[in-house]
Amino acid sequence: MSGLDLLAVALVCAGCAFFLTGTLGLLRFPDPRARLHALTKADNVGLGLICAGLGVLDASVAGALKLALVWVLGMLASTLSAFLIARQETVRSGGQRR
Amino acid sequence: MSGALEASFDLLLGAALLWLAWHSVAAPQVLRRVAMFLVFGLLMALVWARLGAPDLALAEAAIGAGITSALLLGAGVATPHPDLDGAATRTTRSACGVPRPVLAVLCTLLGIGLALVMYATASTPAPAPSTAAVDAHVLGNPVTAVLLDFRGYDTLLELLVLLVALLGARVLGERLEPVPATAPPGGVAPMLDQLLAMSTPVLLLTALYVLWAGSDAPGGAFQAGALLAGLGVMYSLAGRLQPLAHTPHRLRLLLVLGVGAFALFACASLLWSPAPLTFPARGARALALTLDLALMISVAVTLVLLFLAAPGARIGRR
Amino acid sequence: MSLWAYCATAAGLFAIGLYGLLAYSDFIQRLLAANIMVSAVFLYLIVTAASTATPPHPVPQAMVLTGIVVAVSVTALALVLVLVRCLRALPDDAAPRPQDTAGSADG
Repeated sequence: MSGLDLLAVALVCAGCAFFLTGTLGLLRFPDPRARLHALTKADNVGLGLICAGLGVLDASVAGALKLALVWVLGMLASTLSAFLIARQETVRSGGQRR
Repeated sequence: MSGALEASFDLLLGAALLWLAWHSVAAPQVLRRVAMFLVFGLLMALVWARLGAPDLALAEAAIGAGITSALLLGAGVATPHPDLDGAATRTTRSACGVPRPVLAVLCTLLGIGLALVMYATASTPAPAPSTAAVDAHVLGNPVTAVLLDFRGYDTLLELLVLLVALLGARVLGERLEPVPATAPPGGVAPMLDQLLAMSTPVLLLTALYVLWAGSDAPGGAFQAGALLAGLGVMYSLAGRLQPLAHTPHRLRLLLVLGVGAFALFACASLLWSPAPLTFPARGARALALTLDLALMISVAVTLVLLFLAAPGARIGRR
Repeated sequence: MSLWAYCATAAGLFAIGLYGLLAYSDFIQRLLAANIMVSAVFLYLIVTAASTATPPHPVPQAMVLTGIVVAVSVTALALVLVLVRCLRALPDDAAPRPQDTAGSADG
């Protein structure tokens, strides 16, 4: 295994560790907003690290750009989902929605 | 070493699929079941990629996980479902009369028997038919070549099945008021419009790319059509796609475009070959791309109308 | 590719789907179970194709692709049926109302 392969494996493992932490937060945090914190922050960083690791493995500019696009789209989708869930939670608990 | 690693990965994937399938069937709330089914579909896509079928992975992720879960969630929310409480989950009555523990034992025995039979037949298979004709085809992607050229009849019938399902839904849906059932209680979130503005060009480009690349690389018309249908679902959720009680003429044209293109192709191919649905010697790629385009449009519009459960739709704010 | 792992998975999925189809009376639960059985059959098809050759032979792949599209159209039509029935849009619907079947314990 070359140095580049080792770097890729290290990045992917770090990404998986972030995902694990996010899932732990999802299971253990008390209310939906805290769980959203865990999901959006930890999971997006994990996704970014995994995309970086795969980009290193791929070793081409086009592939790396595509993976970066995957990361950006993943963040967009999770941003919107988190906003909608938090909004619904506000409505459900009787607060003012904005 | 690598054999054991691969086997443990396959085992993990299989165990996760079984766990998800069980919860997708037996979890107490509808939302939980559909969410489990969504993840199940995505893991299935991973399995297809692992088995060396990337077109199937794309199709399963887009159609099997995405569109099906959207349909199930829409219907699950619109119809009354009592959440099963503790007493309900511990009941032993089942819908078919056989008590649940007995049913569970029978199904487990069936599963074990099936596994043995499957392993026996899959590990001693008949020799695979040769892929020489498919490999020599002009189109580089063998699945697209099979779908359009060697099994064009199956694709035509598949389009007809989609159309018949839409016609059935249309006839039944005429009895429903075209309520925009997807409007959230607090009105439409402003951020949804922003996301639509950002993702429409991206999804359009991705769908066209998947369509174009499907001739020589993994991709194809059905996956592209499902991507466009996903875009349509997002429009519907943002309130920018209004269901109508009738089908406008332009929409009817788009719906029959796929079947019509295939029918035209079937008739026209009699000009250059005694059998219908045969590709010509020259112009095969252009023909394949045209058929794929018509397929993609039809599939996308049909899936969006099936999601809306309405005869027609138009773009515009409520 | 571990053949026995995927065969066991396909068989297990089929058994789970069959149990869900027979044991529960809620329509959407049964539809989910049927979809899982469909996935199990597709998995077995591709496992057979993949065990003889890599990459797997394209004809079973095309069949499964067709099958996925057919499955989604069947699901969509079934769901429209459920919607129409549950919202009591059919005029001479003699079937029991969802509230009646929900009164029994296994919803």
